Amino acid sequence: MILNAKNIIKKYPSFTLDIDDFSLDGDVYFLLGPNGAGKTTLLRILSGLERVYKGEVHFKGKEIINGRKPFNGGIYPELSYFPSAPILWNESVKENVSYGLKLRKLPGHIINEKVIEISDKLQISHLLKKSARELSSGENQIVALARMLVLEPELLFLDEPTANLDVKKTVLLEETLLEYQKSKNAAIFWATHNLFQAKRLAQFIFFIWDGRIIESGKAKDFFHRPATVELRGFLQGKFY
Amino acid sequence: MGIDIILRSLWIAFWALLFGSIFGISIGIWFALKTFKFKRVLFLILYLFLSLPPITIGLFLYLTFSRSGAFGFLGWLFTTKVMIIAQAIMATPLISIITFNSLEHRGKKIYETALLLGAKPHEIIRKILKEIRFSLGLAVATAFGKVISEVGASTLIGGDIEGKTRVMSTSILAETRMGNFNFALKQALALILISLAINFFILIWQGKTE
Repeated sequence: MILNAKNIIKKYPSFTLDIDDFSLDGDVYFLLGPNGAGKTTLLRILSGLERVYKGEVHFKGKEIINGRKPFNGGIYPELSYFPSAPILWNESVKENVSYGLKLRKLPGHIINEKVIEISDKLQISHLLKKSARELSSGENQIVALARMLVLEPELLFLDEPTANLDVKKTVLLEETLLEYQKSKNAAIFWATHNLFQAKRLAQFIFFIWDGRIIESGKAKDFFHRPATVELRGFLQGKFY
Repeated sequence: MGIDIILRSLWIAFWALLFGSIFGISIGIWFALKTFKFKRVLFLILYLFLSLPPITIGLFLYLTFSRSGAFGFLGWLFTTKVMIIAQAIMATPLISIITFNSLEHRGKKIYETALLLGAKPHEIIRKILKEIRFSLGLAVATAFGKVISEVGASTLIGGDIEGKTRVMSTSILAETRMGNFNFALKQALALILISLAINFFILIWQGKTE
């Protein structure tokens, strides 16, 4: 088991996130739900970026969240979080992609090999010398993904990673992530409100509604037998 | 032409900017990344310090470092040390506010991105500084312009003592009053050239790092 979460509660003045126990393994999980349901908050909590009122999260047996206790770190980049609008460093694309590798103090030739390999895979080799400032929002997204994947995380939290991408880049990103998941047996936890994407890629789906996971199941069953009014409405496109 | 005056001015400005940058950048980063009680009140105080007339800073330091003041025992009044303190106090809010403004919307994202990519705390700080290097260049250049041309506090706490605490700004004032316009103009010209040169080097540095 890669990640284990127990009874997470996070309170805001007008919203409470209340998630029962669940765990993640080497699969592709989708967190499906309308805007404002708590997807980003949950992802940020599981990534160790937000404190909680109550609850525990363990990553590979190591406690990363326990109530209001301060976070000790030391889990990155094995665990990674990809926000919906990632930022790039104000440097060249190559500097961006190699940043995490340099932090690990790897030899220069190994860094170069890894950067070239991931750039080829994500079709950004022609951008390597460009300044990150000159990129389109789609290219920005793909470069940020390369910067994350080159570090070979075991658990990836993705928050609407294709929101700014055109169809071609969406397909490229989806295929790369699926291939990565299989080759590394990594766990991917992908938040979206895009039903079609979930149908295409998910192995297991959680449905979040107003701060609670109200349904979950294997992807093949999930869309055919919705048990709640909320999920039925969401699948019919009533709540988005 | 008063080379000693120019060198003394630069020496004082250098240390004032160094201390001002250390405190100012730290405060700016802290304000941008942390959420805490009374943040708005502290921020208002910082803005108040920005608009504080230098002569009032001079008066406060005069009272603090005069013989009967809290730090009178140090004997720093009418020395370059207290002039450095005064100029650092002037530079700090300016640098901290520019640092804060450049990080207000991006600071937390820079912090989290570096953290997620495996950076340790000191590597995160280095990355933050690198990301806002253009704003920092602007902050230091603006603060330099402010401290090097300041007259009121420098005269009050430095005493404008020839060969000891006389700096370019106070010397221009004194020489003009004595009708020594030639010397005053040369000093003014030197002041302009130095300011231009420093801004020029900052621009070049920004261009190189882009």
